Amino acid sequence: MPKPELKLVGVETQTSAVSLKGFQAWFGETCVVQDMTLELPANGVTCIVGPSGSGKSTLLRGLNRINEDISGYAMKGQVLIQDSCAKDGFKDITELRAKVGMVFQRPCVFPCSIKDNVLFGVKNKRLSKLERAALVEESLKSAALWKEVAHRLDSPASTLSLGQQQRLCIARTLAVKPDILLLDEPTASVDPTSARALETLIKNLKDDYTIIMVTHDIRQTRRIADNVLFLCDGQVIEMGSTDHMFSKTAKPKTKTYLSEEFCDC
Amino acid sequence: MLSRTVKNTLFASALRIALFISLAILIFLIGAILLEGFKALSPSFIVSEARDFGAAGGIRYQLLGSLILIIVAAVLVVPFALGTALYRSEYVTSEKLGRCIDLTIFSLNGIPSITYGLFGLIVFVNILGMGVSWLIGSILLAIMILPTVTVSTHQAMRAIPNIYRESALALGLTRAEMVRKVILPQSLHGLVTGLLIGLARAIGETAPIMFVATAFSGVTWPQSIYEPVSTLPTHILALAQQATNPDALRNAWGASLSLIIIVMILSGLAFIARRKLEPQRSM
Amino acid sequence: MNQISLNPRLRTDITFPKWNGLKSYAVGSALFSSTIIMLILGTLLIQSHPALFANDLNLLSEVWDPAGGQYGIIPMIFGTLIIMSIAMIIALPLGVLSAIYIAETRSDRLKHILKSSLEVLAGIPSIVYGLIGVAYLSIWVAEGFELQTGRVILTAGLLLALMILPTIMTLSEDAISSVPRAYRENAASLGLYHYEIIKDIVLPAAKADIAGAALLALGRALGETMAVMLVIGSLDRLPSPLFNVLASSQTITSKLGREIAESAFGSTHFSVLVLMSLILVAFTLILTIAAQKLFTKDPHNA
Repeated sequence: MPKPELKLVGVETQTSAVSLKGFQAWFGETCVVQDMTLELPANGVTCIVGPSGSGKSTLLRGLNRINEDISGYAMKGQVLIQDSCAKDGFKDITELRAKVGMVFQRPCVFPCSIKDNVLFGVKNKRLSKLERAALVEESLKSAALWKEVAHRLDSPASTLSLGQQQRLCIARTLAVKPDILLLDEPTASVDPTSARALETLIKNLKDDYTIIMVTHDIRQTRRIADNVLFLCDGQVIEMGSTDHMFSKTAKPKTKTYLSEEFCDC
Repeated sequence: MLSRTVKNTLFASALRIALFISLAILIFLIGAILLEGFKALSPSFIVSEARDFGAAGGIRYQLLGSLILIIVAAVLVVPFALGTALYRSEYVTSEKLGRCIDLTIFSLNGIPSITYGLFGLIVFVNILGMGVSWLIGSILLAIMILPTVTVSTHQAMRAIPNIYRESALALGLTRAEMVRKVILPQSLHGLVTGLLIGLARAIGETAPIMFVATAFSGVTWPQSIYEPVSTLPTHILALAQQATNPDALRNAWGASLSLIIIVMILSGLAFIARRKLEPQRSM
Repeated sequence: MNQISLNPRLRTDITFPKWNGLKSYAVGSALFSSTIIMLILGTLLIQSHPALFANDLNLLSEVWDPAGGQYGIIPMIFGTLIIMSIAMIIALPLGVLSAIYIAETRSDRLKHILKSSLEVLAGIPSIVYGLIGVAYLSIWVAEGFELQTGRVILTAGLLLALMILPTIMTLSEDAISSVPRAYRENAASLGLYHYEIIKDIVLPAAKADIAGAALLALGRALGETMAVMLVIGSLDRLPSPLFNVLASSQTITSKLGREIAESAFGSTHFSVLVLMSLILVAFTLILTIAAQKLFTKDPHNA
């Protein structure tokens, strides 16, 4: 039985960037995400929160189908990205992934120069030298890294600090010109100062991109999220605007979790 | 210029074709050995003597010869491998010296097997005047598998956490006692596994022993260390050279399958030894 | 068994004479093990000395005729090189491509079956491969090309390719599998095709280990004796024309395998054979050490 569609509480008419219909995800015999039907609004930052093992990452990784390279993974239901089905609405999986960029928890720069890292996603596309240079500058500027690395674009990316590496990963993703950015705990493995810089960056990016982000950090959610999706045990408990979710009108479970108390769900 | 999708499709098909060819080769090799081998293999084939230069009869003395060679090789290699691994792991203080020893042992591993045969012929048969003797074969096989056994034992010793050594010494044990009570029991699995893997390789070798330790036919149980034996690999070689005779060829397959079964048993034992003997450490 | 006393005051009174020699035993074995290689190389050097310093042997000619005092080793070296090249040209691309497939497949069962059969194949003694060469390959080559004998360069090259394929496949598969999953996921989420992920990030990251695998396989092919000896045809002449792979030939190893027993110890003939063996050892040692160097290098900082 499909559940009634979850609508955002406290948010009026927005076009949806992502919508799920009866989405389920399995690893072998274990069901990690159970029958999810919801719509995520375009633009703005949506934070997915919830205790460990609640299916946050699996949900996020289901959106650009990156999980499908893992053995034992299976999914059911429908994922619509801007009204095209993620499964067959795109020319192929790479087009979907170009539309839906992803940045992971641990910064992973490739063993080549900063410039080549930024251009990695367009390496096999036909672009002139000028176009490439412009793309590098534009992407690095959008990722707020240009000032720091402009003078050493050819040095190895591994020489950057972790926080810079994470911004390089964002720049690399932006260079492919996605509409949606999936961030899987982007600040979890960098120091607090860099994390703050990343938060500012995310806030600046939200006008141009739909950002869907998994985080463990409730205070961070409060600082940067426009909407919050709260998951527990593979199910949606509640979804709504940040104001609503952190207000008294939220469901009791939500309130307990978001007030950082012990959550037994 | 091909488009990206076309390249991707071509590449995917190249992978499939390569895997298909490799699979075909795999199946061909395993299938040929099994099918041809089982045509000849029977209990009487194993226990009866070879007749007509191997074209008739079985592989009794070849099997025994192979077993003597590797058993004696095992006895010869263990003390040296254990000592070398012990020195490398417990007594070497300078990194440079350690790497030097590693290098000489690795080089031994890279020497082509025919060279061992040539070396044995020069030193043992001609200079020391031992004549063709199965003992030379065992010595050469022992030298050949020395690197395998040493490296495996050394790895097991290196895996022992330092806290074990320190605790033993802190309890007042001397270095020698520590080695005997802690290092040797804890690295036994490395020695056994390395030895079995080495023997699995040694029993299939032909080139090192064919000039110095074996005779092709008419050999039974050796009466002294100065006599040759016949082994499964040299027997297969002799039979393969008369491949136009279908009986000889059939027996060659039978001997090959027997040899491979022994190799599999030794490798299987090595696998079991690694799992059963390896100490469970909580750290 | 000696009782170990834990009382430190008692300790100094107790001695264990039979373990006093432990260190000397360890030092002695290590010394012995490390000198074997010197002993082998020394023996080969001394025995090849007469051949090296004789003037009239024409070692670098193409004629091998011991009765006429002609000891040209070029045909053997050429035979070795061409057979190795054929084996590598076939086995390297086939092995690496199959390894990519195995490493990237999502089916754990297929992976498991393939990996264990490869281990079985890698353990098959070379004489058995020789038998397969004699009983199948040489006959197929003879029939396929309508030759009088199938014991030719092509057969030996193909057989060597079969022999080194399992090594190349398993080691390359290990190398490719050990490339961090994060590289693949990051590249995939940039919208790269599978082909591009392999070409742009997986292979560059695994290339040192794959090169090591190739060198190791090359070293094995170079030293392989029995299988090659049975299918090479043993003809001490350069093929004519030079790259006619359907001609019989001779490699250093097959030459040694055929003739060591026939030549008299101490003769010029014997000395030349030892010299060839020394050349072979030099090549394989270089390959083995180079492979070892590549394996120990961290591939992810390349």
